[in-house]
Amino acid sequence: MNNADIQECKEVIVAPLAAGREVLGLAVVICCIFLLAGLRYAQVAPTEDVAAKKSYQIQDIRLKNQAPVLYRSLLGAVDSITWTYEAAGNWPEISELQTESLPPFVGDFLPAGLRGFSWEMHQGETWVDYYGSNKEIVQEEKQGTDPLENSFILRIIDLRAGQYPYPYIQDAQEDRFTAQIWINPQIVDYSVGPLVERGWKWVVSGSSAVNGKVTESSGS
Amino acid sequence: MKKILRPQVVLVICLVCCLVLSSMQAYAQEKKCRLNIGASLHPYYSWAKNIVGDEANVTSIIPPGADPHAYQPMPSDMENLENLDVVIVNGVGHDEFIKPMLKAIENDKLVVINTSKGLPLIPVFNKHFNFEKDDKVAYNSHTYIAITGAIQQMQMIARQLGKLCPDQAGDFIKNVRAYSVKLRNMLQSALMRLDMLDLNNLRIATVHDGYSYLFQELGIEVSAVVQPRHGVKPSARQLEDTIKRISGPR
Repeated sequence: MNNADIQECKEVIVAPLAAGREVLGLAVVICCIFLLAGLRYAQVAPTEDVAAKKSYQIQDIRLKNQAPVLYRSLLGAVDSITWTYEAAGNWPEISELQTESLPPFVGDFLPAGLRGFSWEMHQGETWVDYYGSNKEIVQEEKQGTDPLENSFILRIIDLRAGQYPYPYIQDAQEDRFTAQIWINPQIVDYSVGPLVERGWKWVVSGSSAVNGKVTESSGS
Repeated sequence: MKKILRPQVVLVICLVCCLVLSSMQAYAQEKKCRLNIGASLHPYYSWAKNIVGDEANVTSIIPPGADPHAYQPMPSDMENLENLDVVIVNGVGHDEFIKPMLKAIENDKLVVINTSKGLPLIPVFNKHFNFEKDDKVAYNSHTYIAITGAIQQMQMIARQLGKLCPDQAGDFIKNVRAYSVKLRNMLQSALMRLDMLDLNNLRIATVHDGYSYLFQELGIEVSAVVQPRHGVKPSARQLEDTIKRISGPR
């Protein structure tokens, strides 16, 4: 092939006859993929009702330092307390819980930094508050530990006994008792009245399955 | 005549009494609630057994030594599941094999006890969630490697089983309380040993992200986890990050 022949060559692009149909088909396939992906997302998407969390609630996964340990320990004490209440007909005193070696009321079952907590019991007709704060912070800091500077309240309400303080969880299973754990970012004294107005936060589980519907009015 | 008859009459009365008593016992046995409980993981089998004692049948769904992460259910497992009254599951994904099984079986009476319900969960290690934006959090599924956590889960299981068999609820509670004392003594013993150590410069790396719950209860922070996921080898960058976390300042 000489130079003259090359100059005569012309590049011609011919669209395939079915190009339009191929593009259309491809578009349909892509749409189907997106549609299926959307359907699958709708099927497996979390059903958590994020808006259900109230301003005075804090998720347990956001607790700092050793607060999760104390929170866990308080939750673990709930059944022992309610079982004693059911058997004896009255809420157990702190001394009783200590005799039973129930953490966190006995510091030996907690890591250093949480052992300085002292506990008080306050009760109403249908509920009980176990209030604890670390009174030995200065001493513990001197010993080189990192004490927790929070106050806690474990509130247990007998839902079948009449009037109870608000808010509470309306559990679908209709259990007799409901337990709440409240945290205050500072060491504060126990005070009667709505905890929400005094800077306390209600610790709730981060996993959605746990929380029932929160009712803000007092119940009976 | 009187002397001859008297022992015979007494014997007959005794026999009748024995018959009545034994039939009453048999009736009571028949009426007694006896649950068939299945456990998706071996720790749940152990807990359930300690709660119910001999008052219920407890079986493990997976065979001894089987890895729940990789377990493939057998047809016989489905058959066993259909005969259960209660199944105890992890609820945070450690026993994924059970989910399709529960969907597939036809057992309307089966009560599923989710051990993670009401339990404070820890997010998986090294994942940064934006809590302000309410990110969907992935939780560590090793909830059973804990002591306080185990007690809480056992209490919950006992409560649920007590609802199904109210006559035995008292025994279940008694058993849990006794077992809890044993577990708490273990915790106290471990804490006492830790008290003797200087933990100020301690950094812990675990191969698998399985011990976060236990270490949290002991007041120990996990600095690094080698495996990014179960059975997955870390990349060079991930290993470098692990080494930095262990060797760097606290």
